[in-house]
Amino acid sequence: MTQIRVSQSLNDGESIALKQGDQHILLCKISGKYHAVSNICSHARVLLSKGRLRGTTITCPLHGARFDVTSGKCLGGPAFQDIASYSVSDEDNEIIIATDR
Amino acid sequence: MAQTNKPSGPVPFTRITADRYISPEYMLQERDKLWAKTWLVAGVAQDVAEPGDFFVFDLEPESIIVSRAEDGTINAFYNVCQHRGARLLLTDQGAMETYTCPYHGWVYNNDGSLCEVPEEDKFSRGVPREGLSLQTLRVDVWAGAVWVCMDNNAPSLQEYLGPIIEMIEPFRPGDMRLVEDQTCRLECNWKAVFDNFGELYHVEHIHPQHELIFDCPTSTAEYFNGGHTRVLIDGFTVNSRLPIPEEVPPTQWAQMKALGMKRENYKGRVLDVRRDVQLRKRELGPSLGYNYDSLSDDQLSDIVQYNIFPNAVLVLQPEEFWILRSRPHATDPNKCYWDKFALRMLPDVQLQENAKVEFPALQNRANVSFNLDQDSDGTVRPEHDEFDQEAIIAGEKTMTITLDQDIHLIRDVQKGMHSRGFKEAWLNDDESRVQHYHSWIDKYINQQFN
Repeated sequence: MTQIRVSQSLNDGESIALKQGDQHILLCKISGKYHAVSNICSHARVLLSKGRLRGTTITCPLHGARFDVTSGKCLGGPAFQDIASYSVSDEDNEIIIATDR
Repeated sequence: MAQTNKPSGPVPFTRITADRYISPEYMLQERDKLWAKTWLVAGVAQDVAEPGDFFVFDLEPESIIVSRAEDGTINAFYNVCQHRGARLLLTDQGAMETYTCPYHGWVYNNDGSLCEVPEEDKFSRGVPREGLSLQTLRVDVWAGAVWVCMDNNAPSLQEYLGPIIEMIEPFRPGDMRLVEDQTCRLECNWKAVFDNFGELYHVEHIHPQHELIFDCPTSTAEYFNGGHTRVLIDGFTVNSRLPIPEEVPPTQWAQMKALGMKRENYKGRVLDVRRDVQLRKRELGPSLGYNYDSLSDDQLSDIVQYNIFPNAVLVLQPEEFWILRSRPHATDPNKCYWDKFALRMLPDVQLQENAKVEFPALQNRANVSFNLDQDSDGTVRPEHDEFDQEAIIAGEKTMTITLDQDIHLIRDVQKGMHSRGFKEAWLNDDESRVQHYHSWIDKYINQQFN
């Protein structure tokens, strides 16, 4: 189990791209809660962080695939595969993302 | 409002024969003469609230993108890349700065202008930006909906809807939020399901629950230029043609309770409920978080339904608004898409805090209109749910019991259109809205508007 630690805090509705090794993570804050998913679209393999977040949905900037950032679930568009979702804990001004390797 | 449902004026007679429901040739005529000439509900305005927001309106074989550009304007474009005709967006909604064609990667800005062409130097003819931007169509916003029209010579949306605009505005539909977004794939012509909303003759036969909430026999129908119609139906009452029950029917209990009305007080005087609902709503409006000031007493208790030519049904209550919409199938006149957008007025917290009448029973959701059975409270946009009619028939999905009952029946009407034993419809006075509607279908198909 690998962790990514982030000391920066986000505003509601904000998202940032994180990279550790070859792993791309999208961290979002929605209604006071942090969520982390893979930052790579399951369709055309581009960075989702360049897309726009509305509510809990991010739209891929290239072809418009949509994902729920709280679960990684694919909601529509040309993609049909979900993206990975990671558990996040918000501790002592540090956000810890548990990645799967 | 105890008026009769006689037509308010002569409705021209049109023969409603089976071919208009089953003929592929007729379907192709509709494509050019009807769909390309009329204003259509494309979707809900809240889906393009912020710059970059877009949704896709499929009117097969056409597909249309409605988008709010970075400068705040709302635009509508045909969803087709100007390079080779590929469909540009394969998603139904979202938020994007640019649209990239999945085929060869042409990139358009969200205002429709062509932005980037991969390997542009290989186009020895050049890439003229103006001529190769997305093709636009007319767009307008009204009643919480985005409307589009493919015909540059058609009247404005205001002229198209005429007096209906002022009639609907007191309900403030533009202030309501989407709580349900459904599409049912029906096995009937798109007009067959629309016809069903053009008469109340069937209600006593397939919607038995309505006789204990509404009084359809005393409804008032109206007919508008352009093929639109409206019907007003008394609510919080019972069918006046049937024996009046001694007790208030259970179909009204939840709403009465939410208004603090005791049903035992109405024993033997069920017909007084409607008037008292009006008075209670007037008195408790602010405590409920609803501003009823723009509405008449009748509008507080009743249902009003507008059929907007050619394919939208608007059902209005003070707290809830339905947009029902029928869309044709790309190739088969025996299939269509039946959409339901349910919107709800969210209680105004400020209004509740300032309310003079304390009403602690209303801490929960104020269930004071019919059909408020969606799970969503309107703060999060519901996901679009699309399913086959079989899912309704199997009880796996519901669009409310009333629409489900219609869906159960309408597929068999379509089968009847193919029968050697059926020639044409034979309508009664209460079906004059259907008659009026089809006379306008004929005007468009024949392109004779006199």
